[in-house]
Amino acid sequence: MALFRIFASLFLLLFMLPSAGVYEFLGSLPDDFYLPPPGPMMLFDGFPSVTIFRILHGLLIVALLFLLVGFKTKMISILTGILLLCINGFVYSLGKIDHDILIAVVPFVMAFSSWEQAYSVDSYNKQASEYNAQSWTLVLLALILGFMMFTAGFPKILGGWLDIQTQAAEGHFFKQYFVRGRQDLLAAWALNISNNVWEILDYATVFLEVGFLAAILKPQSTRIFICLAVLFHFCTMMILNIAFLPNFLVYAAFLNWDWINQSLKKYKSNLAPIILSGLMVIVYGVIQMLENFVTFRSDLTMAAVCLVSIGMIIAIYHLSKQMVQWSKRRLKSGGAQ
Amino acid sequence: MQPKIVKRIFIIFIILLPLQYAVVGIVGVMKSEPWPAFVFPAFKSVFSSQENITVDQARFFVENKENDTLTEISPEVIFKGIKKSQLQGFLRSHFSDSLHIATFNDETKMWLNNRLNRQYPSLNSNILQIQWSKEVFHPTAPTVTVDTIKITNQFTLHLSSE
Repeated sequence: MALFRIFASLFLLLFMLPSAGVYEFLGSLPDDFYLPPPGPMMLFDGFPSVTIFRILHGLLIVALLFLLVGFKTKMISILTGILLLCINGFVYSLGKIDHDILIAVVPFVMAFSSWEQAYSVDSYNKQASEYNAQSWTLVLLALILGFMMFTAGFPKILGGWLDIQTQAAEGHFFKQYFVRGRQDLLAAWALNISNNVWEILDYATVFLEVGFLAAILKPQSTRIFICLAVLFHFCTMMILNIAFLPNFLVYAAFLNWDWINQSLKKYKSNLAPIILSGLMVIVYGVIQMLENFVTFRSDLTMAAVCLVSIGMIIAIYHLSKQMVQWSKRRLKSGGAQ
Repeated sequence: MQPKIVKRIFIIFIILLPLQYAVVGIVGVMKSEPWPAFVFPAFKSVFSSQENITVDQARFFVENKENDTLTEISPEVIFKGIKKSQLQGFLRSHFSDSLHIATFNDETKMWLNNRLNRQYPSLNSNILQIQWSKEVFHPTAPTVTVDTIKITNQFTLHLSSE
């Protein structure tokens, strides 16, 4: 999980931090516009100043850098989660919540995973025997993710998504296309999708979201459902131009980081974190370059498009591998008979 | 961490997750969705293929008293800096109700006036008109266009004490 720690800190640092413009705007807002959702944000009377936002942002960057190198990792992981909640809490006090709490949950939960066991400053100060990898943290993340997916799917059943007389995904597509101006990528093509296909998408969405809670009972099915979720997000991004990029941090927790570590070690032992960091910085650089050539009319970002697409490739690879393994097992058991 | 503690953590979460979901549902109906919460957006609304799709849309205008004209301005430009995914929610929360707008204090009006002058310096007006309408789309038409627009609410906000 040490490699995941490095991935998570760079993912947050390079792709998930709010832009400076958001703080300038929030810090200038009068208190009349402060509409906190029910919860801890009601303890405040208004938005803090731009200076306070910059301090919080600076602290978050420092925390993420400490997380990257693995210094005081447990405390820093928890602090990272708190800072993310704090900053996002003020953003959502504008009057609308974005459901990306998982980017704060991941560092909180992983603080207890011993993800500083390797490739970290902390690991130089401690004996390897003092660490005990805590795999229950991944199970907890799976439980939280599965439940949250269920909360997305269950209301859909009550709302009539499974009724063949109604159209749900299609209706949301029209709203996004005509009202929100989300007309990039394959959105225009999606105007030609037939009602039958939309109905299949309605059923597939409900099955994926509700079924997630059952899938988390086994690691193999958890991974399969995560891959299906990635494909779902890719389709949503292409058609509705909504990327759900924050979810990808928790999905990445379930990659086979042991296999990734061994694969990177084949090239250069002990340089696995450098190679991973280098790859992420290269991806960041390519995204920055592409942003000069491609602009979107919607609120899609090049980072979201690239990262979700990379996730899609990994998901297809994993699902294909699972199908090959399953076929081989079937042939073997068929041959044995 | 000791297995006993891990077991307790899981028991707490297995109880807490559905409990907080129930709280989210109740508080969401009484006031608005609480935060933070372990929920994803449901997108639960559906439309029948026999019906139209109706969406609420906000439009902002600046009133020119000298020649009695209205010039449409973009909320995206006025509120530049807000995330696009937040904008509609922000407009619904703060600009959909004339009673709520009437509570804006002088600081808020000055802020809006400054934003207006900064983003639209040539317009030189301090009267904002906000119009909410229901736009109806026919999903079964060969080309999907706005079928009807019905203005549901309209109010004026004077941004200075002149």
